[in-house]
Amino acid sequence: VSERGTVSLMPTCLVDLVRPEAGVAAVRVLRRAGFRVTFPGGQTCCGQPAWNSGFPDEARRVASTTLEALAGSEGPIVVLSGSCAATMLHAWPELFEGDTRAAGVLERVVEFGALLAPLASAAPALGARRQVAFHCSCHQRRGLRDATSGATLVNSLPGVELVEQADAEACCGFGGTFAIKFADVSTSMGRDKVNAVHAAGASELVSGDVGCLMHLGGVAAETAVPLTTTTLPELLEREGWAP
Amino acid sequence: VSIVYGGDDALEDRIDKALADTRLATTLGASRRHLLGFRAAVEERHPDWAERVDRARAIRTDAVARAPELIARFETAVTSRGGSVIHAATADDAVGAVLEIARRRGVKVIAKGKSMVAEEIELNPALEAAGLTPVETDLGEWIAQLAGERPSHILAPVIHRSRGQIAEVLATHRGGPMSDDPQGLVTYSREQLRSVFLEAGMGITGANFMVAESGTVVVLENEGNGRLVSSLPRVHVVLAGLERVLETTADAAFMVEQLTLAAVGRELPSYVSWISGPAAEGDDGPEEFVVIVLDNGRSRVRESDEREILNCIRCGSCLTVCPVYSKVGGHAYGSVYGGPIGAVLTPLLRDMQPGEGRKLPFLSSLCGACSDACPVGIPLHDMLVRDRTLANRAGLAGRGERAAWAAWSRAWSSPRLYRASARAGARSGPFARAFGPGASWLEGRATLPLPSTKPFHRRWADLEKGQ
Repeated sequence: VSERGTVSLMPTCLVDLVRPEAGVAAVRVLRRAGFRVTFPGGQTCCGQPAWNSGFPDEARRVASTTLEALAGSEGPIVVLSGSCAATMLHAWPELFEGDTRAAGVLERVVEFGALLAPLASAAPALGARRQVAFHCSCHQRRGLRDATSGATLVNSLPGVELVEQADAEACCGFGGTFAIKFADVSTSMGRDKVNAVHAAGASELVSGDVGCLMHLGGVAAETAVPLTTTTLPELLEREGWAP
Repeated sequence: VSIVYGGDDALEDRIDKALADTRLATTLGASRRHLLGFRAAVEERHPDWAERVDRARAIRTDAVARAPELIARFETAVTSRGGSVIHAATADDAVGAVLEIARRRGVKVIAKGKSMVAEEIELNPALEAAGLTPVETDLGEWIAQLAGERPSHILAPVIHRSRGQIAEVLATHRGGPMSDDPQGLVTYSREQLRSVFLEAGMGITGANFMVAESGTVVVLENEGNGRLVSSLPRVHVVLAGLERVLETTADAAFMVEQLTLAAVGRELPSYVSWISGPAAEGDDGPEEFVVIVLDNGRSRVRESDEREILNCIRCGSCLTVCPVYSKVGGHAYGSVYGGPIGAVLTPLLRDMQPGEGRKLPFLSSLCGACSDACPVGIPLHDMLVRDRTLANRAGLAGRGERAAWAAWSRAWSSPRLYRASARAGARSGPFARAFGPGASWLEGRATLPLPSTKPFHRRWADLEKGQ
């Protein structure tokens, strides 16, 4: 069954290496939604770590490998990160100026939540629901101009309740290599986010971006705030989401 | 060119100090939320906000592109009404010009309005060294001057101080106790500053805009001190960066509103002064009107690919809204210009010279809140990234860092080596936790995610079978 056609999965390096469960969940959710899922071989990374660190030549070299892998792929390219999707859409045109492969890839790039949110329908709430908070990454919010698709999907789940956190639009402090170069500032920002989520009554934090979750999970554990971190595909799979 | 005032390796120390001051983050966090609140109200009152930003960006881009021509027209108009324009290539030239005027006019006391350019050229210490008495008359700047501090925000110089800490400064000045009641603090300051306005032989202000077609300097303020400084002393000296020029009065009127909406959420500040020369014969007002137009690196930036940063109108929004600035405050940056605008502008004005300035572009999580807040649409977070590249190329990145990125790019541009690095990473636990980036990660985070022993690309074969 693939009545919605074929998609090409771009798990991103972080999901591939650090949170492969999110990639597996994404495949299952996409299939349940009626997509045929392919995984174009030879992908590595979109180049963002080097690009944001001021090493564009190194970023281009790595990204060109991923571009090559995606160039021959089929259907929408479903990216499991708002941040990587934003990097592709904003940095790649500059990195691959004049490269005819880039436009054909970039017009097919779509973040996982943004692909599925239009298919979501509001579900009637079940009795006792688990309270979760959603963290929309800054690159999803401001890079992709999409502050709603994640929340739309969570709201369509009968088994969970999306709680409103204070200062939701504030950066969590991850920021890639910023998290290491200025770790104290980064974790101070992270504590604000974790505390806001905790104060809102959520014991589970969901996000479409694994980078933010790695950082926030570490901060929560350090400060003994009871908070589990779940990627959006994992949540949708667990809650049995279907269009 | 100094612009930065921190020692060479003190950035991390200043950040530590700022983070230890929990009241600072509370104050700045409240200020950040306040700005987001009034900006939402502004966008409701002006549903065309996005178009306004586009228009402001176009006006500023055009003016910066034509700055030399527009400054020349400005000069012609100012001169025709008996004023004069001095072109200062460097901070020293600008300071020298002020000193020369002060000497010629026999000035002792100088009343100062708010000017970031004066901070940039370190005017006050130079004036004091020459035996003159400069007095800041903007309330916040006055408190900063009394405290011996730099302003920590473009718009709100002493935002880093609590009411009580401001009262302490004034108590020291008074030599007696001072309540932290705001009205009392303002009344005391007003009484003290009144005599300065009357006594001063020279008034110095900044310029929000210079209007080319009319030779007008536009000064925005909320306290009335700028108007007194520019009208009571016999000499009025204006300090302006050369990028601060606009072509027409209509452009200036629009930009005054845009600046004020962004800065404080209102259409107009309490005072907008349009100053077009010395007093006419028989009128009250300054006999002499001099505009010092400062370059200090701006022309070089204007001729580079980074010229858009000169579009900045110094509203301070990007500082206020920045989650990093909100944590560390302006002093941590160690630059006259802090926050995102300062992190972009400082190293560019200094031509990526060695020193702390070029580390500043890295002091950002690249969340993009600055770019969204900018009323002239400067893509600040993109410029931060470009500054990082320029800084690295100028030598900030050492051999080790360059080698690490080169090795990374070699490995991860090969799917085979990428997969090998995943296997190696999965076995790197104790090493990764003890050294380098992993150890830094674990400062403040209890867990370090390491590559899985079974990454997604090794799970795909099984998944594919289930299709």
